[in-house]
Amino acid sequence: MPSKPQTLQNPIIWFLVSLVILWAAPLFLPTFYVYLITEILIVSLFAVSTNVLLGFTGLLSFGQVAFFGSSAYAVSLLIKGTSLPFAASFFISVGLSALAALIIGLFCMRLRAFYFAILTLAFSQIFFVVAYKWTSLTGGDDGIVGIPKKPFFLFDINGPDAYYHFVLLVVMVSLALLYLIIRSPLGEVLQAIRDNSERTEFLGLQVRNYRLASFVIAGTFGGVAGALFAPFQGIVTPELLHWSHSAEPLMISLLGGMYFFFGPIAGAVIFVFIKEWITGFTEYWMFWYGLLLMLLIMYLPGGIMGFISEHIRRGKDGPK
Amino acid sequence: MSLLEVRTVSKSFGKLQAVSELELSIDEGEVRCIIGANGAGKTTLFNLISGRIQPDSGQVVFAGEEISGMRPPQIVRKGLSRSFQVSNYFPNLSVFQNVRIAVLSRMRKSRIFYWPVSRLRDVNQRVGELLENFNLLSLAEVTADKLSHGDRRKLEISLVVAQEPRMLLLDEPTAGMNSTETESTIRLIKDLVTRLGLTLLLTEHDMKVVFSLADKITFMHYGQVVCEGPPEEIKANQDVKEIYLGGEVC
Ligand SMILES: Nc1ncnc2c1ncn2[C@@H]1O[C@H](COP(=O)(O)OP(=O)(O)OP(=O)(O)O)[C@@H](O)[C@H]1O
Ligand SMILES: [Mg+2]
Repeated sequence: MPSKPQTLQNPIIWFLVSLVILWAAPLFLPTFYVYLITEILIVSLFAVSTNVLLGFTGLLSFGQVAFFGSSAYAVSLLIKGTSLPFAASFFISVGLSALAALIIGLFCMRLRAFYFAILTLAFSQIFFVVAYKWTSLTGGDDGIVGIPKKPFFLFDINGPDAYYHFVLLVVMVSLALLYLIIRSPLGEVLQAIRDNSERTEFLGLQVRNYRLASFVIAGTFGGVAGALFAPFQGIVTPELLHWSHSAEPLMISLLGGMYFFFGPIAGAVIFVFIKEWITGFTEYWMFWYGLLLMLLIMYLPGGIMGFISEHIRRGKDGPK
Repeated sequence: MSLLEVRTVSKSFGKLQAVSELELSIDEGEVRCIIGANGAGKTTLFNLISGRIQPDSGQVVFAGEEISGMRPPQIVRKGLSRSFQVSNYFPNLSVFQNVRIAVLSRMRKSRIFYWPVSRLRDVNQRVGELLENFNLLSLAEVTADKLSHGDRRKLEISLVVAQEPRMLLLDEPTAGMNSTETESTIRLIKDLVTRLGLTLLLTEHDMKVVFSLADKITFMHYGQVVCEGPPEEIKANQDVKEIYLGGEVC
């Protein structure tokens, strides 16, 4: 087997180094960028969780926003409507996302590719309509405003730097767990299903159960991202649950490289920066972003990570 | 007692009767070879036995239990595994990972989600052994779709062997292999079957392979069994000579 330097191979070292650097970031970055990185972290987690389905199980779901959005609503309602500590609200919301993913997954797993995608879309539309129309609970069109950042256990997370650190820790732990899952036997089976679901069945594995597990994993961590997002924005609106929002983590994954664990993170960095940059001078940032994405997908079909890894490989093997 | 029984099974695709009221009975420990011209229905029969398609009528019984109607994973769990005529593997995974999926399933470790698969020593050791047996160890890190045709065929068979089934169904295992590859593969299969006392049902066009391996041969034509018997008998059979050995194929 090829031997690489041990330290470069060890993901735990990478994890710790990036954690330390990012932890120190507010020391030398203006608050505006602290906000931006907070958003990147949340979007990254949402995209990576979606990519467990897309890139690692081969399932196209248009409904991931249902878990992100419903968790954002749940945490907001619990924070504003009850005296529960924030940690409890947080974990209840994530648990609800997992449960919703399990129930919706049980329905959707019966169907094959195309119908699966449409059914997930339909489910997320139901969530949208509930948020939009159940005014007495959700505030309807106006949404829920003034969501405070209550302490998480004993930690004060009010203020941009403190909340950034909270998000950083939660996202890093979540990403570490997702990474472990992808590298686990279960993760390898998911990739086998992506490659050839029929052969997976002929090796004695019930594909449907594994797909369901993948759906619940994606929904749960999508829920974590949503629960982080609501206090960060301080407001949740039905727009959060709109199906077009589901396309975001999909496009980010494509942009970054969906066959790489870290692809969606690279995609999220670029997505958030471009959005920020283009909205600076035009309202139609989606148009320019769409155009850019089209070009990137046409000329970089493996995404950013695919491009990078191709070059590393070529460098190693020498020119062909 | 017979391990596998196919009882008056029929299957048609539209107007085409691919398998018609076919009867087949295979004893435990037997090596049975099915021969027949292209389109005789051999692969369709395998598909019916392995649960890839369902028969229009009739039953398939394995180890005394009806398996027709079961889904493929269930049938595999009963100890009946198959390979495919057209190599059917995981193209974006490495050769090592391909075989590891089969081993994880066999060792019932495919649900573990909290531990890196690279750290499961018993699993990885077993994968290494299998690759060594199939002469694929030097290709362990290669992505499967980069393999040569012969190596793909070996990978295909290793996936079945990795499951340590009670009975193997191999659909033209050596199709397209060169003669050295064929020879080593057949030796491997032979050794495995005798050492573990496995039951083997295979289809094959290469008569040298057929006669060197089979205890008994079944000759199929237009979805039906024309005759059945030990190799010498089949070699001498007039029908087989006319339709197959002397005629359409050779
Ligand atoms: N899914 C299907 N749909 C329609 N026709 C099919 C299907 N599968 C097989 N057939 C037809 O059934 C007949 C039997 O095919 P089968 O693949 O079983 O033959 P075979 O004996 O395996 O041939 P070969 O030696 O070429 O592999 C053929 O005429 C084939 O075209
Ligand atoms: Mg065939």
